[in-house]
Amino acid sequence: MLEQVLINSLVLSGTYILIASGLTLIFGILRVINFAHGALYMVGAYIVYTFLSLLGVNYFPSTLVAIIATALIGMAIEAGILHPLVDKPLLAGLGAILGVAFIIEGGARIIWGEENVAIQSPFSGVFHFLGATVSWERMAAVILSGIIVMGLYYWIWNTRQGYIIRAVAENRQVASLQGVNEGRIRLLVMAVASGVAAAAGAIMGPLFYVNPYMGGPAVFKGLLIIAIGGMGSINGSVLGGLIVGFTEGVGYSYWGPLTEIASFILVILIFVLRPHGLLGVPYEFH
Amino acid sequence: MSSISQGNWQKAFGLVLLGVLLIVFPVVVPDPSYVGMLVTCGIASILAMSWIMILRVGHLSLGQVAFLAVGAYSSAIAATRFGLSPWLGLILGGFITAVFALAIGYVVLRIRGLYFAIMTFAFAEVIRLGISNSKFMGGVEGISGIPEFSPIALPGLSIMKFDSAVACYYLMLLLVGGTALVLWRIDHSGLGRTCRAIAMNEDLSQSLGVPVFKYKLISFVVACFFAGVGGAFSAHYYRCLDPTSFTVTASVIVQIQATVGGAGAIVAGGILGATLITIVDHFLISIDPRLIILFMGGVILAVTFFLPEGVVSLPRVLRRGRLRVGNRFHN
Repeated sequence: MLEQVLINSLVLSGTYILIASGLTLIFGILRVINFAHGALYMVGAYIVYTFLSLLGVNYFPSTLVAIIATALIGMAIEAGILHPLVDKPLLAGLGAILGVAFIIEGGARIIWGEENVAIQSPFSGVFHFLGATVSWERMAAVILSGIIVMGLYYWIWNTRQGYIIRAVAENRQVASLQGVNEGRIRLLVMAVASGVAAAAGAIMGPLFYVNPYMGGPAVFKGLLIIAIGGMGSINGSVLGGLIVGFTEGVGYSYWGPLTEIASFILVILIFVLRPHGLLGVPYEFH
Repeated sequence: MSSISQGNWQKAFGLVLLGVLLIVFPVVVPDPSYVGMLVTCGIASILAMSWIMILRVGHLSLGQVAFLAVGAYSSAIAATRFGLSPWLGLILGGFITAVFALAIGYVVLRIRGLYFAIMTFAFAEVIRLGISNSKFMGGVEGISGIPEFSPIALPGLSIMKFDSAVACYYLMLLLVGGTALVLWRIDHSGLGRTCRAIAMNEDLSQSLGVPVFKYKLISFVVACFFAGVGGAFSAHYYRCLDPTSFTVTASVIVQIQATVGGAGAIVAGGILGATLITIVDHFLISIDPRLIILFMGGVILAVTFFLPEGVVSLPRVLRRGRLRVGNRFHN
């Protein structure tokens, strides 16, 4: 029982961290809550489904196609919609991105229908570890999310691009004065964050059902997580993802449906104590 | 000078004409489906106005339907369990919602920017999930068999019964009119001007001695009071309630309606946006329900780029002779 709770919590944390880290990156650089992030996660899962189940392509090439296609969609959203609204009031950017999310969801309902579809997992069987029985399906999801999160960490903290991204997040004017092409950094961040969202969809698709409505709950859960961790902080999104993932993983096994409230009450309590999240810095937008 | 007063006359004439049209509408078009559609518009308008009222102090609420839910459930429970008259329920719903707003506002109004949006969303979900998990409040099945408004004797007229959409329509007109009047008056008073100043620069207002937190709390509580009254009305109009109508998507739609109408004008923007979108949705749902979210997504994008101040600004923009695309070359 305990090992099942642990693995379920890790699986949930994995998805949450993948979605939240993309949201937090976009928030840090593009200064907008990307309401379309859940829609991109959903599109990623559907592209994998289309290639794998309808066209018979292998799981990994399908995932690669999904990541690239979703990254391109993300770049198109930035270039066509968010970038022209850079200096407009906050409400304009938020409204536009809500519109994008609605259009993607409506499009998915028309293209792929409204029923649940399943993605066949490439992993099967179980393995035994210290007396516990764990399915490879779930273990693979945990390992793959772990690899992506570590890659993201390496990229942000150990590469030149990551260095520039951190500079833009800290102060876009000063970064621009140092010769940073902010427009290109925005595109890059949008592409990477969208690709990671698609990867999350591809990893979680085989474990849960895929349907056009999965995006909304995902993006709002992601918002809670980055609020808990501190908006704009990658460490915060990992911490928040683990907190919410484990609260829910443990909660669903012991408390049942009341667990759903737990993460909301948690975020309220954390905010009363730390108004900028656990790892966030005082930061304000107009 | 003369042109200004002429404009005021035109405005007053337009308002009176609109009022007369709205009053005779159910007589000219007795189809209950259209009258019902307008009642829905009225509820949405109250909610959108209350959303803009909160935006006035610089806060973006992502949980406005929760206050509708509090009003609806308090009145519905009072009526079904304790036999309270729906008329008193209307007031009770408003006051209980105001108390909720006072408690929630006391916590969340200290938080600024997008964190505020996330906090209102979290509180709204706590309220919705609390309702779904409470046997007393009907759980996921909700409450049905909520009594309609009891008949009243109008002086000089016969007894008015509220079993039809038409009677509820007139009650709704009164409620929307009352809400609009109070919110418009507040917006054009010293309080309203101070709220705009707070939204523009909170720290500066604070340093000039404006009791920022108090003003924010007042605006928040007043806005939520009206959302609660609207909720209580909707409970006795639809006569059944369930928690699925109060999800975060519904709150997001409030934001879309208000932005499309024009978040710069509490009354005109709120009513126009909510009414336009509700009416189009009403016709789209009979064609294909999937078109609704496509329409809402498309319209908010179009408004953001071509009419940044909302549909309310359309006459002004047309008079100027051209649409300034995205306002890109002006500031």
